[in-house]
Amino acid sequence: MLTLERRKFLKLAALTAASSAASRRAGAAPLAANNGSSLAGLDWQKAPCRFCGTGCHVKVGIRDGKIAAIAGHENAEVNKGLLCVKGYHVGGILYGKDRLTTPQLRDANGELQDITWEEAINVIADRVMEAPEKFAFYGSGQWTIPEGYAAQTLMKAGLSNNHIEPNARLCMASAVTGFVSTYGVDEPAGCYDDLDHCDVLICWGNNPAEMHPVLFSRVMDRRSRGEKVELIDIGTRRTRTTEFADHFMNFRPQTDLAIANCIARHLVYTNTYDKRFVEKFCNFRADIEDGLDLMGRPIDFAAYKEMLDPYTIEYTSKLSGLPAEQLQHLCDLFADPKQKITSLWCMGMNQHTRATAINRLVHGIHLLSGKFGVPGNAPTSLTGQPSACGTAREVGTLCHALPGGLLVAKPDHREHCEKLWNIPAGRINPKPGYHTVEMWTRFCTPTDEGGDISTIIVQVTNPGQTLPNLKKTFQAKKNLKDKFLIVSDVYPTATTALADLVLPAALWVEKNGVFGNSERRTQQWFKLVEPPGQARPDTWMTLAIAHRLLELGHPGMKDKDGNFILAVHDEAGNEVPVWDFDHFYDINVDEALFEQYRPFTHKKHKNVAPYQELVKHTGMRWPVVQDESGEWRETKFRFSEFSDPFVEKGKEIQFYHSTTDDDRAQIWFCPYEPHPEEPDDDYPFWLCTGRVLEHWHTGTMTMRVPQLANAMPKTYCELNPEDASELGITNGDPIVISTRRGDITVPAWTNGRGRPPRGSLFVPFFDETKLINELTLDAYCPISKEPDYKKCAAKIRRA
Amino acid sequence: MDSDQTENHDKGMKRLMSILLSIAIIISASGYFMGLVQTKNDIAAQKENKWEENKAIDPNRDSSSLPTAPHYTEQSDARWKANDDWEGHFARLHPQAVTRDPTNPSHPHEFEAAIAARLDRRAYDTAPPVVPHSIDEQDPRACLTCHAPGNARLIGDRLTPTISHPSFQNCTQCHVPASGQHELSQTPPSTIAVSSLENEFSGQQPIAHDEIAYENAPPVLPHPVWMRQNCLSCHGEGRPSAIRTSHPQRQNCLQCHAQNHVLDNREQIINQFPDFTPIPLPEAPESNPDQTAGSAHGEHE
Repeated sequence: MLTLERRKFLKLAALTAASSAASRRAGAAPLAANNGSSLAGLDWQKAPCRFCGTGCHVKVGIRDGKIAAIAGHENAEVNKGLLCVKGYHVGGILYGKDRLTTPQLRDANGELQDITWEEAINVIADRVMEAPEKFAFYGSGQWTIPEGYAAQTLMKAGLSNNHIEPNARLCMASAVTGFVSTYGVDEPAGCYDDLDHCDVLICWGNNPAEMHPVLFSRVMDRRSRGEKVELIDIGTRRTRTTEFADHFMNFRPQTDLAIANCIARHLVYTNTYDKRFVEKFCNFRADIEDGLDLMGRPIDFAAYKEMLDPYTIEYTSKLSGLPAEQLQHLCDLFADPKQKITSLWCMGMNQHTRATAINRLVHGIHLLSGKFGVPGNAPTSLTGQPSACGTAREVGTLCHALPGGLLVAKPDHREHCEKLWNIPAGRINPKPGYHTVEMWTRFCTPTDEGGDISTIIVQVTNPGQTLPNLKKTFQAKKNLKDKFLIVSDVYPTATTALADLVLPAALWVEKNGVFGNSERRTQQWFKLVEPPGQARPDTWMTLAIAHRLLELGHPGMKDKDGNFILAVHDEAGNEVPVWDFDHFYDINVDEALFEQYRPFTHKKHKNVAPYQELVKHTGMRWPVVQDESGEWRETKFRFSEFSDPFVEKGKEIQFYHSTTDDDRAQIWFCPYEPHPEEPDDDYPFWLCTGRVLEHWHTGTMTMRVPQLANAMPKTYCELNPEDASELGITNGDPIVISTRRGDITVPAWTNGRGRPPRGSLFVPFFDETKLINELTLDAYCPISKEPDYKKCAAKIRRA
Repeated sequence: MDSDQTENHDKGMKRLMSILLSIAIIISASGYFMGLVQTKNDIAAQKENKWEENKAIDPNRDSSSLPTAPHYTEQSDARWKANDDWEGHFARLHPQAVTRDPTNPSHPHEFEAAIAARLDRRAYDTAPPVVPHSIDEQDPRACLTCHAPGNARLIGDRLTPTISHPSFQNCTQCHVPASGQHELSQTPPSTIAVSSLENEFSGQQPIAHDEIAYENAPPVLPHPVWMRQNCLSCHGEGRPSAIRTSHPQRQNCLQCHAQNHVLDNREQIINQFPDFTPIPLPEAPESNPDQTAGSAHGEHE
């Protein structure tokens, strides 16, 4: 009773404070204050968009403590005032009526019952204490950097447990292995400025017109200014991007490997590769003799040339289905030193059973042709989540990684991190934890059959809809009574449906946050509105769990000096009890955790900007270092002397984290290999899955916005009209799609938004009433462990 | 005599001409109706082929090519590729006379109705409007067929709105149909985004209020001009009467109408940690002078 009273009082106090702050802000804008009638009390603030990895900055218009309008931020370099339809409606995601507002625990009858936050945190801490090594943390590329850092610290520095993964494993793990095995360090060297300078844009299995529309417009709008940009769409189905393309190269799925090799072969065999660039800055590499690993083995140019030999235009044309003229055109573009070429890719290359290989090969043809390191020449991977780069990759919330691009397997990296965390030597577990598919498979396996993950906490993601082969990797949990699933989310989802404990989370501008976008840009925002009910930030949840573990006597929760590992201090050096929610906002926890994390980014020269610098900008691209005048400067083009402060004078291009320690990048050869589940007589179709413009991932947020949900209410299956006619299917007919793992009934759409060639199907995955991932394949790239959602064998019939 | 002969000859010619003319008229009229009958039969035959709409679009088609227009006899009930749920059914369209002399001010209720109609299609004032008809899902540039400058079409009493930001070409990036997937017949057609969903988002209302320095001074713009490069897209001839310019002969709008000093992206954005009334700690925390909140200066290795 007493606590209730106290909470009520505190809530009131917070409300008063918030409104006084709002009026102060309004007061600081005299123009607005003088025209209350015309501005209607709208208070504008900035934040990066909640959705994709593009990282647009929006202006948030707030009236009476609620979002009432959104506008593109004109001073943001990424989007220059433009947004996409999701961005313009991002404010609506906060106000769905079914927001989760109270922690809920499933009782013996399987019903969720309201409990207090204190009880919820105790339940979690007790589960962890029971078996800390069987506990796993599953987050996402939508974790803010401080959220990811808190989870990372709890797991790796506290529990000595490496079973922490982000959903980004399902989305960009292969881009990471591609970058690391080529340049020795993750993330693109180029940036979005390349889009303003390229002569040719090649989309490799990518549909930016729908998935990264602001970036797509950034290139295509150059045409309306009279500039010439050649767009090449190398894809497996016609999309809205194709409509703008000069060349649509419709290849047979999986043969992108051969196409890249064909270009490399042409450059080498016609002597049109950039000899100076290759001799100065590159080595050659290939897979080890028996199997596949991250680093492979060195080879010489002669061996490289020999390996490329089979990939003639004739052979590749036969394999890929591309006409010889199209292949020749691609080869000629790369052979022409005058053409500035930017390659873009996202899930098409990353969700691939040979994803690391195709990533390496595309980097390889850019290096071989010297199309690297000057504005307009860049191999650039895009991310689908707002902080897949910032949190998953840079904070390293992956089972094998440590913050700042370091690895748990490397003794010197562990030692370095133990020092920064101030924890005893040997605290960090040297063995990588379970990657996503493995983690969930083990969670869904009975304990006595090797299912050695017993408790998973999920934050900011919806694995119940996104894991591949859902029946095996997620739904099997239903029958396992000793497994415990904790889910923090903002709305009910396919994941909360199986959760034993549901935690209501604060969303987007209901909390402070920092994201990192696809071009190494770190972006910060402040809490602007109150979350509903008892919803709280994920950072607080993690801090509260860690502190409860400390109270329960878990030794890992103390650092070398006996202090709490996630302690936050005020300016006077006093510890602030931020794990107690009443005091969470006594200090900016985001800033404190970000500044604790920042030194980790220095070892691999990924220096993120100080928090207070980020407050002043709409994002800064790392490495951000101080120049002589004390000004913090961002880096647009990494490894290029004219831009990157870490490149030594006179080096021109320096890959200063080269895996061969000689400042050189690796040009890889990887062969074409068939897909593990190619269509056959029983399952004659290729099944591809993906996103649509209006919905973001599983639609948890966008399906609550009327404008977005009405535009794209349900999932469907795109198929070729001739296949449809043969099977007696017409538009809107319900069809049953079956794979070896399950089946689903959805309406057919011929000549719809996208148009697959004969023998191909496409189904979007946003619809929680039709879980297409019950059908997808859980085979993954053996190096990146990222599954292939883009290809598996299917059959269809009229329902 | 000569003149009589000529007259008779002329009369004969006239008679011949009129006979020939009536024959021609009869032939052409019967041909027309025969043609109609045949066309209807043809159409009936085509309709039996239910796969018709499955016909593959030639992937190598010229990018400027458009969906085939329906035959004129079936226009009244044709399924138009892009617009079939909009008032594209010509039979239902009734042209209306212009309701207002351009020099007279509009009635307040007309003005309010125009603003309400405008907001119906927007989540909040200045949000991109939803599209009140179904669209060509494939090619965003199909929108420009009717919405590009100079391409406006009069459908009934409505003129298709002209794009006010022609340099942006990926229309569907921001404008989505009010009710999508029309081809799949899953949702009833709607011209506004109907909220079947429970969502409590309450958008900013139009802030259009006259701001006039003195009587008869040109009013200041009541809305931002961001992405509104062409004032006549909304205020030009053929646009809703209430917001139409009273002086269409004057083309340089911003010469007299000043941009609003509180709109147009000159908002002051104050990015600061939100203020909270500090709650006293239950007891004085123990200080740890050895620990600081993270070092700001890391080493570069």
